[in-house]
Amino acid sequence: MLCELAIKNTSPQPESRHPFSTKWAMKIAVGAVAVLAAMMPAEEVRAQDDEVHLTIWPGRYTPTRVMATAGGGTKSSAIQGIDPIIAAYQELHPNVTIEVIGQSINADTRRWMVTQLTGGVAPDIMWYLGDWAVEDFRKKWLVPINEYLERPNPYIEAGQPGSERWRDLFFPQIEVWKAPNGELYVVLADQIQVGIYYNKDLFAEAGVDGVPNNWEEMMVAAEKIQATGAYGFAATGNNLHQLTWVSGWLTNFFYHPEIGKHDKDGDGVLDKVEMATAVKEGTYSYNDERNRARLMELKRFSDYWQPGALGTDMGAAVRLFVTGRAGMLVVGTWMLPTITEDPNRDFDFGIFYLPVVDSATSDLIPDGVPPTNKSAGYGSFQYAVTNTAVESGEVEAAIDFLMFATQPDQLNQMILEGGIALPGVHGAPPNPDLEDFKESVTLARAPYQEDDSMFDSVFAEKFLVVTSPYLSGDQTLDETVDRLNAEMDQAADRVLGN
Amino acid sequence: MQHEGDAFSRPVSARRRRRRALNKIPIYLCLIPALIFLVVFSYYPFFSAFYHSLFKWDGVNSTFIGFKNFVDLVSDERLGPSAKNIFILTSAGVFFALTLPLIAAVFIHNLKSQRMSTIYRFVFTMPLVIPWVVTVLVWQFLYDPLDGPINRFLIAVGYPEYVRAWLADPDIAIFAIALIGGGGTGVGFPFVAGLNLLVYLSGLNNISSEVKEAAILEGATSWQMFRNIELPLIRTQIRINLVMTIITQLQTFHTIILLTRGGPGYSTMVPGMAMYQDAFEFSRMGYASAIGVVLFVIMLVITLVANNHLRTSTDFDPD
Repeated sequence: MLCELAIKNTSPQPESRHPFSTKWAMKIAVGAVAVLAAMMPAEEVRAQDDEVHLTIWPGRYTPTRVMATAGGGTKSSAIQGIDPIIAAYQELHPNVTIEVIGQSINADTRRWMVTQLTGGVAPDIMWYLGDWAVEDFRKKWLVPINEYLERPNPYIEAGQPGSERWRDLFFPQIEVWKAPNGELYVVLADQIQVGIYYNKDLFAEAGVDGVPNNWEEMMVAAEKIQATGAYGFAATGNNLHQLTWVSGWLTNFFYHPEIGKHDKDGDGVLDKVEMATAVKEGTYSYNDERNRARLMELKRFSDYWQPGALGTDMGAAVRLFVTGRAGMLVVGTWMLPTITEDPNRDFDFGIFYLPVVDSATSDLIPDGVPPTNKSAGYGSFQYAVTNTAVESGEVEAAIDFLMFATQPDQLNQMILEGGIALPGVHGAPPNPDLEDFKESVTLARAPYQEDDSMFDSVFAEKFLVVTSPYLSGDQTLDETVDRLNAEMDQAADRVLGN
Repeated sequence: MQHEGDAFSRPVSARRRRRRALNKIPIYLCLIPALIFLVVFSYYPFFSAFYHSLFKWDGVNSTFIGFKNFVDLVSDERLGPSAKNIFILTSAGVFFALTLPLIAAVFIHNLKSQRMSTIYRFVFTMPLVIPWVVTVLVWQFLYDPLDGPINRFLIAVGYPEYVRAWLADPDIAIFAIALIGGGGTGVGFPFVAGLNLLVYLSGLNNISSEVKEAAILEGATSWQMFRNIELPLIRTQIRINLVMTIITQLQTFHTIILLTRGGPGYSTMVPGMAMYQDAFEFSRMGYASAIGVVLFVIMLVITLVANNHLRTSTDFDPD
């Protein structure tokens, strides 16, 4: 074609002798367009036909057909997970295909995600923790969603929350993990919660009446259970989970009088930047008597763990609890189906929320500090649109699917079937399986974040590394404080981008 | 005639050489794909690690910082525990991998029955096909502080005071891992199986029967035969096993990540785990590359020292 054009262009032009005549220019333009069309990537040609292919990693809502287990919290029976939502969406949009990617949620999940995102091969839509998104925002791995949250959700009936502005559909928890640039990155449509599962038979045998009303009563209960020959708590010490859930809980009581000192913007919650600033200004340190007291309380809590808990993972801790050898287990809603359906369990269990910590534990804590929602900002439907969608030009399609999926009716089926979370959108009925958790998720957001999410994932790992020898008695409190201070100082620099 | 023949043969041999060279082209062509894969998947990452070790690189953003990553390594608090742990693992690995397979190989080699020798060889090399992950998970169960057979056995035989949280006690966790070994070339409990055994057996099989018969005629005992004939003549194999074991042990990673993830604290931290953590958890790819470069240099030095200073079988002069 190029040769033809060249030949034609060199032949005499009877209409005009001028080399840049209109006809000549038209021919060049047509030829150039033809060449460009031939060179156009296949994807772009497909886009003209409006064919869209999306990939999604739905975390704990991964259907069993893709993966038998998607982490320790999936129902032991088969689940459809996100499949019905995808099927309904594809019926409405026949040009769209959505492929579900299987991947476990475990201690290596973060590493898998980092590798995928770094390589630009992550699923278009991906399960993502809000605090990771805040930590990762400078890497541009995820699509900021503020702009999309301001748009109407076309799938919501007119007059309902979200129909005019998608943001209105969600509970306020979606706003928890705002990055320092003011952006949100995660669509959070349900809520999880952490609670204390307890063995009613062991409680009765130990003479513990009812559930503990405060931290001290819980410690007394643990001691009484130990006296029966069982362990107070089935604990997992080789990862951050229980350790930081509990230490974060303690922080919110020990540091309640200090909130105003750290909360520069006065919104009642302390984000990563505020905490990092407090560290650099010297107003938050592990040398504080409050933090020292908190660490000592954490050690006291660990006295009621089973032997070897520092090397135990969550699976082993759950096994210990369901076999009736430990009185209590601190874990989240996502483990409820697993514990409920475990064939080895031959006792009745109950659930109570983390009890308040008051002056009975320490003079540093004033009485009457209200309990807060320690898990605000976390869920199972917590999805981000990734750089893969940006590369393939499918961001709009991914957002459109998320708008569809967050309709209360669509979401509700999946939440009820999964039995691991409570709804996080207006208009979805509460999950009856999770009656024990429904009150705590309505509490105000905890002002202080847990140690693993207060700064970044490097500090999270360091917190575990530094506190483990303290809990095992191989390191003094002073040494622990010094090491944590050093790590926290570096973490603050990273958060502030120094 | 001779002159004529020489004159005639010269162009013929040149033609033959050309034809031979042309015949070899397909062989070179067949090697090209393998070479390409080797360059892409082995050499490129290798040189890329050197390059990136000079950058602050989070996988997305990259800034040249010279040798800062290497300087930071010196003050990395994981360095001390990692060095100590890798020394323990490597020492234990070298001890077990050099002695036990050798003893087993000598016994198998000296079996009178060829059939039994084959059976033993088969039985001892079979574990090589078992995935290392399975072995490690079995050990995880054995070490379980509450339900593990080791602690149950100690209680059953009346030694409850020796019951331990084997992988959770910072004082003993690394030794518990050293006992498991590192997998790879077969450097794993019970240490007699695997490649090391096969390497020793090949060395023993290569010893000339004349040498051994002469020693027997001289009245050498079994110990003297082993000490003065077999051992010196398998020095090459000992050196191979030594270098391979050290390299394998220095790279120890999968046992650690499966069992302890470097904890409690840093009690089981090793360079491989630190490198993995930095690269894929902390997004400090440049720093992780620097750890890799240092590990490579250490392994290179050890290999060179072993090659230059350890005598081989050919150095042995029985006279």
